[in-house]
Amino acid sequence: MSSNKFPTPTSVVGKSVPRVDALDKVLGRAQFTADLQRNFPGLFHIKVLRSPHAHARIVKLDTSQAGKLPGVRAVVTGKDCPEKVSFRAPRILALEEVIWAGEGVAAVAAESPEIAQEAIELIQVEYEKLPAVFDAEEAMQPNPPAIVDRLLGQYRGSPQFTPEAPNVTGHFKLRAGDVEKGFAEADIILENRFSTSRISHSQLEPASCIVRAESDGGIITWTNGQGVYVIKGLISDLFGLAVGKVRVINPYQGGSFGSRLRHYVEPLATLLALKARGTVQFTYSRQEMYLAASTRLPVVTYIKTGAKKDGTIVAQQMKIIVDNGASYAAIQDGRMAASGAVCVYRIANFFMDSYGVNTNTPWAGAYRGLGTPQVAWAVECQMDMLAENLGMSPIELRRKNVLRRGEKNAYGEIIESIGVMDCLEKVAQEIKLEEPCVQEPGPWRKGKGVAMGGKQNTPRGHSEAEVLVHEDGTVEVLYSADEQGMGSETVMAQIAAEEFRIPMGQVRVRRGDTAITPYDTFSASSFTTYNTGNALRMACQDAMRQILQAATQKMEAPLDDLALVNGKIIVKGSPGMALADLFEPFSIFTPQGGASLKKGTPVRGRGVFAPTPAIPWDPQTGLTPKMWNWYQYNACGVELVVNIETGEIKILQGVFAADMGFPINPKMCEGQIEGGFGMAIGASIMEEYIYENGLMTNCSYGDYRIPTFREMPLRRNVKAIFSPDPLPEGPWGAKGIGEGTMIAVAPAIANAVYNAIGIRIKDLPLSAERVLRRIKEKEKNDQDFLHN
Amino acid sequence: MKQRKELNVNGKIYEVFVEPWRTLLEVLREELHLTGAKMGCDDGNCGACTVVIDGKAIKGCLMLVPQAKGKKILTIEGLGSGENLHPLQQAFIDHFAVQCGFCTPGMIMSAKALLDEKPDATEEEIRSGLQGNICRCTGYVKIVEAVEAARDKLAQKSNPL
Ligand code: FES
Ligand code: FES
Repeated sequence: MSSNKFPTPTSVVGKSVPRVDALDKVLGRAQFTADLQRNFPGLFHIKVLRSPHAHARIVKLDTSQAGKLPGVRAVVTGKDCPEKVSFRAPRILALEEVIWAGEGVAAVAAESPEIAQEAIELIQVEYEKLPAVFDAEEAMQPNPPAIVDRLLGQYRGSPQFTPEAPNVTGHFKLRAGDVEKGFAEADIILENRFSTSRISHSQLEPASCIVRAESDGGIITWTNGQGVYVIKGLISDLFGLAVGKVRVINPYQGGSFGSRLRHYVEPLATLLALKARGTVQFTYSRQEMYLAASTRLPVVTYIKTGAKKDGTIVAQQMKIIVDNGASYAAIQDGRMAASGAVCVYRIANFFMDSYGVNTNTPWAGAYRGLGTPQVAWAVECQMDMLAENLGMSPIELRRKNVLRRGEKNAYGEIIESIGVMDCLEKVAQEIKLEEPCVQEPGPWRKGKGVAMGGKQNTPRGHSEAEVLVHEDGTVEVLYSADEQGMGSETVMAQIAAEEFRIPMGQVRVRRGDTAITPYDTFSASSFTTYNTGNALRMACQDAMRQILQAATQKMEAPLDDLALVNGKIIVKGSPGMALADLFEPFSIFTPQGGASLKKGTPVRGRGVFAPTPAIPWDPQTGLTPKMWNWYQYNACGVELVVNIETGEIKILQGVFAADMGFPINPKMCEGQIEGGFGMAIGASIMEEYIYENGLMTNCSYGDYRIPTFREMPLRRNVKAIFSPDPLPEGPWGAKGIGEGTMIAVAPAIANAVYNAIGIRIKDLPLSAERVLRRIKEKEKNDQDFLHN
Repeated sequence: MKQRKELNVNGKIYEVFVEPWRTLLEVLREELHLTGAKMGCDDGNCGACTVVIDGKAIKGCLMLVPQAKGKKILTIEGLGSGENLHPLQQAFIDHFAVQCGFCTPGMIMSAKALLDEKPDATEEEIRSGLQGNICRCTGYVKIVEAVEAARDKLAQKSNPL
């Protein structure tokens, strides 16, 4: 894509300019959804009655007492919900059966949260417990102990739904090459099973929205859910509202990590706002964030790898089981998760099955990497185990099998941009992987480990952007992608500043209001810089073209000789003119229409970008020249200590290299790396849902512990390295970074634990309890061995 | 039942009429419309609601209004203004210690109380002093960096050579 004419080195893009939202955020002035409640006196507050049972029939549900409580404005149950269901949201309230412990059964809108809570406690409900299934491998069998969602096949109309496996939501097959022949040629075959726990996004700001029912039958929603237009579409569709009467506004979002991609507060709040004919607010409690918000998909991976003595992988077979929980929302065939096994290594003979399965557990969905970290967890531990079996260094084995630019992966895609091996080499060097750790006396054992990985970018949706160029040279950027903290507002401001060659201070970003800002999907799959950024460049160029067109007459120069730089029209070989002089004043005595630019009337530039679509794959083989769009890559190295008396792990050092393409704002990229690393430490050694009969028992920040300052290494021991392989069609070669930053961390940690204590742990998390159990087992085995 | 209460917030005396079981956080946000302190958990485990009371970092969701009687409450709104940022606020901007920003006001208030008490806090002391404040976005690296930078800046100010 062509940039500004008369190109100069970039002045803003590629620089770590301060975040445009930082000032408001450090002043406490940045507005989050719940902060807006003060603008609505007379607001009704929503509380939900939730099921304590994982699977039960609702025998009796009596809300009459609740309805009579003074201050209660509206009470709803599953019977009041629209019949329609959407892929974008879980069912609003349970109807005949509850299918996970935490599912909503009834909801109240009242004058205060306390009255709403009191009303909830007056609701009488009688359950008849039904058999439940919590384990995905059990659930996917024919004749499972429970059918999680009886209507699954019916309302999804899923082509993959079969009555024989009523909990399987989808099945993806990859059949590349000849796997039998591959294994026959292998000198060594290694088979393992790996698993990951259910974890919570735990973004700091709970889900929250305000919905105002307007007198004309429309609604306005302020929400921290992702994708204003997607929510607009969802709500108008579910409730049959005129699309033009639904407006969605998106204040700042306090983190998401995928959690807010499916909409679990807006539909219920809309239902109650319409019923109450007023304004309602619905904010999840922290407990609800665990029980009834999105979670990360637990994945079980069976992997069998065949290799030659020299390390060449000749065949791989995998079975990947993705646990959707009791999701009505995330019908999946595990294809996204499985992509994590395809995008890094050259495996000609690859036989893979992935399945999405429902269980009676809290529902799951997108979570920083959408399943790829869970599958890379298996692949990267397997690679280290294979290396050991072959007597090779883990780096050498990976070097031997890694995909290189221009090669085809197992889908049949030609890889355009892949910096993964460079990432690993840099990490290994930085962490001095070849040098053995020096052990100290005492219970702490030191170890080092590395891993790498990649994340596909889904070619999804289309993004629009607009710019308003004012006569004084200031530019407003209008777009609708999200700002959940990753810095999209800053990146967009940088792009506009770069295109118009103006200082950052002259750009103002306006974001996320369906009545003002143009269409976008949402910020997912790390694509905001790429999708929305490309659209914005086009919008800038569109405005620029209109301005220069207007200047051709005034300057008496052909379009090609003109450029707009920092508020000045520049002509080749002349002093140029100020942008402001192009805008003509007008009065009732001058022509007020016409093509010339008018004072007070900004030039509006518009850009639309859509990624090149995927090419449908053969359902029997999964083969296609284009399944995804591009890949971001990364590698991680850690040094840690394991306490052999307590099982505790402390991370001493973390080195992380990323191939995110060209970094538009290097410090913000670093922030993504450090943040992803921190989050991954939680997923690797701390976080898991603990249940009793399917009811999560650790649903608070106090009991479900996420990393604090204490779990992070000292700051000088966290290092972020860039190893970009720029993507030609990305803005200035940018790809994306947000999701990749978790992938390599867990396997690097497990590989380091193995290095430290010689114990291979294949299930996440590596909690102190689990590690200690394995240490004790090993001690016992070693003793038994000695005694025999 | 509702009672009349006086609160001293950011150097101003406010009169509120609230139930005595209201938390300070609720009253700051709902009655005084000071929404800088955030509610992340409402049970004392995240620190997003931290304010400084008589020099100590206190979680606003754990204190009931009557307990704040006669005490000096400082919230993020009273710490600095756009023209006159506190060195912590400036350092959080300069060092990219802000991502989603939901933890930021509480984090800055905790850091303020910490540095007031220990102007020469080491990285270790900063890490343990702030461990009651959770951030899910940054991995804490740049937050520590920012607090250390603010510490050095404040030291320069009080000891200009
Ligand atoms: S809201 Fe007070 S500690 Fe979380
Ligand atoms: S910046 Fe998002 S929680 Fe700290």
